[in-house]
Amino acid sequence: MAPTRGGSKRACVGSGGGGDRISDLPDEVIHRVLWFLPTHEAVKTSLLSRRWRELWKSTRRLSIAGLSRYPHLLSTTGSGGSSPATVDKLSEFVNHLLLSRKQGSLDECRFSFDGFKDMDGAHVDMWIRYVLDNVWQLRVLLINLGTSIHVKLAGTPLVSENLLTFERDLRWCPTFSNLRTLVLSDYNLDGGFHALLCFLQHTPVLQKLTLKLRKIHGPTVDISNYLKRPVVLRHLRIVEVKCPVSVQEEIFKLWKILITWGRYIVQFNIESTQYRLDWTIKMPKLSGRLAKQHRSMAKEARSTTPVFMCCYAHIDCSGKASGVQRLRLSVRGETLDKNVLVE
Amino acid sequence: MAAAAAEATTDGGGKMIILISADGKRFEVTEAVASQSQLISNMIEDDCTENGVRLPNVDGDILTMVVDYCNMHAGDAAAAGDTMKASSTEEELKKFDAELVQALENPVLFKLILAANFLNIKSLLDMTCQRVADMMSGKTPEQMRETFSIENDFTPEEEAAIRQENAWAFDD
Repeated sequence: MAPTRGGSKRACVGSGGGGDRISDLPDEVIHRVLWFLPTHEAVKTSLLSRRWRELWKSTRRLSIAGLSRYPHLLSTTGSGGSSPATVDKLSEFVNHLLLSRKQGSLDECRFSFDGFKDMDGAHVDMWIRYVLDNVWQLRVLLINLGTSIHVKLAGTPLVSENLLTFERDLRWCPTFSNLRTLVLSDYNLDGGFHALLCFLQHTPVLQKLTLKLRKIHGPTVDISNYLKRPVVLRHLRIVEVKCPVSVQEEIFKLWKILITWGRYIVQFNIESTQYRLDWTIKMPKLSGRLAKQHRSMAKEARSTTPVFMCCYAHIDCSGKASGVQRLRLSVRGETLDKNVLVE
Repeated sequence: MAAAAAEATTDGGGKMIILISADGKRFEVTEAVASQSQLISNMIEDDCTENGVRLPNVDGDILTMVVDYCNMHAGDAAAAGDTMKASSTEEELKKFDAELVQALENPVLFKLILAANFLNIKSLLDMTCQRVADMMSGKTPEQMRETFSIENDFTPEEEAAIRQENAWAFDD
């Protein structure tokens, strides 16, 4: 059993229970107890005794959530936590909290500002950056800004190396400068591609993108602007899309954008829950220079056989499939391999 | 406990493992039950459970609770225990868990926490730590000290200094 710090005292104050046994628990166990306490209550334990004074500063969980119910932050207003004074208090609280903590690793970090209507996005951005920059390791980061935005990302072993799931819509996002793998689960395209593409612009070293899409009901989106002004996703190599068949048209558009933005993609898989899509894909035409770049980047990525894989679709290969050397096409579970000319 | 162990033997499924408490009590459990403890699971993998697993810092009465808990939860941990606990539904488990921690005196609760930590049974550790957190929640530092018999070893000056340092988080 790990030795306890500051375990020199053996006070026998209370009756019956006999002694201060909780303070004899190892640090890691007390941290687990503090994990389950709301942050402002965990800070209170600093007043218990010397043993407890610093313990809250190195818990494995940093939770900035549920604070709209914290009376200390509401004291200047009775209006449910929407006045600027309250947001100011919250900012003060979070600033102190972040700066007081000891350096170390986190298993979970949670930001949720439900109940604070006038949150300053710049503040939130700064806090998240601060955590990403100062925490050695972070396994899960949950961000919930109001009701419509909810990000959940997890990184192992480096800070935000992998983004595990990402729920609902996102219109605001910080830069994830270390993010290499992004999995968007249950992603809803109802709002168009803007949120997704905005996110991709903030993940400069992303290498693999996996999208699991839900049905969409929204109006179709005009993508010509995205194609005219592409943002080059230099490191993106692999894209996987899983979608219900009803989103086929939107997937086609998304694919068009991604293949234009992600010029160095070496593998693009689309999987649909039904076996047949009744549209035709034309491979976008890349210029010779780009195709060359693509090949050299693909080599760099140690993937000598770029594969484009599109299940359950008719593919018109008459267009030049630049940079894509091999086409794998699955129809009704059968796989046909086809070599495609490279420009 | 003996009854539970005997029943497990007849189930004919997994291998049996003997756990030996600090005071020499022996508990026979299936591998599936025992391997909810990450510690024991690692020992099973390393093939060093042949002569029983001695747990020198877990008392018999605490180990009884741990084994009860693991027997109850064997179903959700491993499909291997399919014959055993198919009958314990989620609600039964919740009820069992709640009753287990609610009834405990503080010293026993802390012993159980230490055992869960030592044996590395995450769900049991979380459940017991949550119980302690629940007992702290909503209390002033003074009330927390009272609940857990924590001695205030601060000088008044030190306490004032902390109050000032952390004033941003304290109610006035």
